Amino acid sequence: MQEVEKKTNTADSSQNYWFTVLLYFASFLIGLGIIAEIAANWQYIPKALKLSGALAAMALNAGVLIWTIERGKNVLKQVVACVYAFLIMGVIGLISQVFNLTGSINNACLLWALISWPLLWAAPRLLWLWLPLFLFGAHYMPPFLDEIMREVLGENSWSSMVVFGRSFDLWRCLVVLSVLLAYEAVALFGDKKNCSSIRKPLWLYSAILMLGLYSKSAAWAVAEWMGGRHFLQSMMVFNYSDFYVQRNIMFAVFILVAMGIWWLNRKKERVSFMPTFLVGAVAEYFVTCSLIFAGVLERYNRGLEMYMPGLFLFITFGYAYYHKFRSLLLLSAVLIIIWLFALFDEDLFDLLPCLAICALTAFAAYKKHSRRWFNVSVVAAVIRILIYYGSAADLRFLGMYLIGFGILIIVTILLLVKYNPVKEEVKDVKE
Amino acid sequence: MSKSKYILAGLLFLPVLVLGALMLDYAFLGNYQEVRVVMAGYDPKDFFAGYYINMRPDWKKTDCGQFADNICPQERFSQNYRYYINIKESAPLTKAVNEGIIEMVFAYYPDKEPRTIDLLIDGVSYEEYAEFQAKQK
Repeated sequence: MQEVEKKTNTADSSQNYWFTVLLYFASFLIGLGIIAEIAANWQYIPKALKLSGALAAMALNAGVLIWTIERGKNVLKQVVACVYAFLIMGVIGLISQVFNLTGSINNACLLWALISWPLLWAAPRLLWLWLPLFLFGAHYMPPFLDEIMREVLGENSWSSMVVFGRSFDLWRCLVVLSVLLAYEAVALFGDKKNCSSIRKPLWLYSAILMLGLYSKSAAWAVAEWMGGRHFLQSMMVFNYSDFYVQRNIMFAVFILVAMGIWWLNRKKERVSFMPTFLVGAVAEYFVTCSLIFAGVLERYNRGLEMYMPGLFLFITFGYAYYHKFRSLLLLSAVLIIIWLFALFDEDLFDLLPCLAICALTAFAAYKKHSRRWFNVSVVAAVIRILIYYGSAADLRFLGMYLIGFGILIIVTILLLVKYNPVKEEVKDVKE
Repeated sequence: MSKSKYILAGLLFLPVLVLGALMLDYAFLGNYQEVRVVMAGYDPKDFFAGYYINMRPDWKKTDCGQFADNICPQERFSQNYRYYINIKESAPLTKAVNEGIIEMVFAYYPDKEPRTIDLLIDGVSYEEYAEFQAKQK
């Protein structure tokens, strides 16, 4: 009796993995191309169609996400949840655009955080992707929260004079730093080797939200408390407008607190709050970078504002490498690549070399059988294309190129799979 | 499907319901008084500069006779407004704002915040203006 045993060749299953990732990349290109075509003809689309189409897309996405959860398709679930998260933000922006609302972007981000929290329950591994966006959204305390605090404390009470007086920012700074250091102290002297908060997304999300709310206040509190704002401005290195002083003071606060947390944990082999703090600081500076790209901030200050995030990113990379914190290692590697691209102007002649570097890196990772760095290369290419998309002048032709290139990748992969099938091994079994 | 999964499914549709309700709330204006406010320009540090035209009410040039007791209720309006435009029209519209020929049409309510209805460029609706510009090109 002969028993036919299908044995999947390890090399072939690995090959399917590379093809799968490239198929996701091709899907991204086609999706972005479709978006570009819609954007190019945006003004000709009726408002009712825009809004109803957006709601239909959200409902479809939610349905697909529920299906992936029901079927236990975890990888697809992460992808669909990620798409849903960005779709929600996009629809909030669409509502603001169609109805010409005057709310600020931080209110939009806060609304997004409030209604999309079920996604954290469905796909908690997306936390590191959302971190910068949550920080950006919660960075400035929305006016309505200020009103609530005034309502609770009373306008003319002693507490409101202390809280809303000149030292308001200082109080908030002291509160958040005290909470952080208290947590670190309790965890440090507790009977735990590993910091479980990093692995509890909801707790961490709440902590990051609080951190983001007070980060700006912390910077100004330190500056005003020290009375050093004017002194620092008189120094050449800080001889910029208030905006830059604020950013640099905040950077200094992050460094000091991160060093303090590191000092508390130096004898313990565990990951603490520091990665969160570092990523938060990096997110702060990427906001600055985006303002530079938008032409809002003068480029003559580009040196300090652009190279300091890079320095911080390399510190984060080194910290993650030392502690073998893989998620943070990958995240910082991707952010370093983005930062490298950000040093160039958004131009086709810089896009193609960047994509060529990504392709070469991906090929090298493929040869070394390193899935991790293959993924990093693909993600870097995705982000570089998105940066170019944001500055592209003619979306109509860009959309056509993206769709065409995506289809070309899919056809190529399908042909390769067709002519490179999975091998079968026939094994005789003696009875 | 277990009970917890039904709850999760419901929560995942929450954004659809919330944003759908928001759309309906903004779409149906109800009973309102239409008022026109002359707009002046300003240049904020805005990430979306170019995609929107940023303006602030110019109460000195606005006809306050539209409101009760001929008094412009400045506190009811925001200090800054923006209107989504085609980026190619950003430069000429910014110039029009500086020349003071831009008015914003609001749906004015006695008990809630006024809502933007339309943008007028020298008395012409923005949609007609955009169509005319497209034909010119």
